[in-house]
Amino acid sequence: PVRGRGLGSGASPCRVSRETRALPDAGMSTPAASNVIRLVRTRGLCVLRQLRLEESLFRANAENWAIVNDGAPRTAIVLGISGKPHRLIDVAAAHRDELLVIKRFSGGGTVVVDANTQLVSLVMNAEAVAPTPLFPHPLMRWTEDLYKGMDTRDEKENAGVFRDVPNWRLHQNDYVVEVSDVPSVDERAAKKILKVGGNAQSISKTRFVHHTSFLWDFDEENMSRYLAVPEKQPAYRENRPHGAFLTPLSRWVRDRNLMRDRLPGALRALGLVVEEASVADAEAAARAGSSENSNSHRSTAVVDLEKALTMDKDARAPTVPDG
Amino acid sequence: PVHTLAAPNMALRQFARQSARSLGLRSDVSPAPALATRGMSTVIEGLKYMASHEWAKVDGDTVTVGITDHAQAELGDVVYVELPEVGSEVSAKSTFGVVESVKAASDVYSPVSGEVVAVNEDLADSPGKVNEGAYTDGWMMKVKMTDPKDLDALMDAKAYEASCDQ
Repeated sequence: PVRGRGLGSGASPCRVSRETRALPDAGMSTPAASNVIRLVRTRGLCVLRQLRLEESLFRANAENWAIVNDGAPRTAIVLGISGKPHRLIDVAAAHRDELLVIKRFSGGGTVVVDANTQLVSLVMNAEAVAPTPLFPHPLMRWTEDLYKGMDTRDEKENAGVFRDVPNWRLHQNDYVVEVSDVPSVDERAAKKILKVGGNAQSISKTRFVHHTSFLWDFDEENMSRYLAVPEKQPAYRENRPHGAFLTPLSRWVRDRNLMRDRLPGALRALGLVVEEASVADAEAAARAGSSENSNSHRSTAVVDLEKALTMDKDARAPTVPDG
Repeated sequence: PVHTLAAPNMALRQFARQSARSLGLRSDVSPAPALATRGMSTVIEGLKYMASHEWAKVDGDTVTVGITDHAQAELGDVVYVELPEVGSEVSAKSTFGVVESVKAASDVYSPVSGEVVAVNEDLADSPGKVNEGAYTDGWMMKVKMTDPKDLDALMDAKAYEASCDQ
């Protein structure tokens, strides 16, 4: 076993033990009932710690997990598995400002995570979402049902988290709100479809992770300072800058606790049995399933910005060893 | 010969014929339709398959590995492929790499154990080859097997097709 400090030790929520490093498929723990999902609702968990926890649960645990983390204590930029720093962010500015830049284990694009980001993660088995096949689009349709709710004759039966947000839906793989019904639309929001949350996935033959960064609010200046408008973008973005493309959840939802409060019911509506759990429970479960096999081909890691500065535009993100 | 199905598409028949030729396999097109199709994806006779949608072509003690046409269609546009180092060891049924598409990083699994003797370097700059030619230019790695009995655990085309329909 990898040695390191115990999880949760140290004052900073960003200190992470090496024991949560990503692990291969071997060493799965005993599976629980296929429709039980353990729900962790927390605040202020460091995004690096959360991502490493998710990857460990994905690879080394056999249970279903949902983690809701309201607000990260430290602003971070998170790249997808194949992210090229120079194509996606202002590396010099991020280095100058000592920003935490992380390369995660899932696909997808780049996000800024801060105190107003609500990170919601699902780490689940195929059985829990059966008969949904473990491919990107079917899984996103399943999560759309979770967040939006399924069509029912009686609206009162709709248990979706965002059931009363007008025109909330999945569109070209993003969670969006369509603003055509809203009376006062400012010039920047003249386009009708605005993104409210970005998602990404990691999929194995038996399990998947689907995580989302919902923007309760966002700092447009921060985003513009660090994030490029991506070359690869969904068609509906039409090259709009961040401020004209994104919309904060706070514009559509009064209660910041909506996700925390409604997610259990939304999971039950999809046939799951919800058990409350803590971050400590999740980290213990991840440790329990870890194996001695360190032949993992990818893991969540901190990007070495100093090294990235010396690399060309198309270089993949270099990471800090054991960072 | 490859499987026949009720309503083959001319373009798919041509694709399957070309794929089979590239792989050095027979493709008997007439008189009956000569491809196996499941919806819009193809399955090639003569290859071995995993339930996790990888294919293996055996050539002596070396196996060429890729993902099936069904998998690439379900994954969507492939934007990145992570492959093992040449000279590294892979294990049967364990992950050897990652395919990224539509915001998802999907594990790919090795059908056999052995040493990686070649990887498809073209995929670094042209990951879309996995979509364009899942059985041809989209091949991912070649493995020198340590135990040919690993092949016994793999499916033939018919069994793979049936597994996709479950």
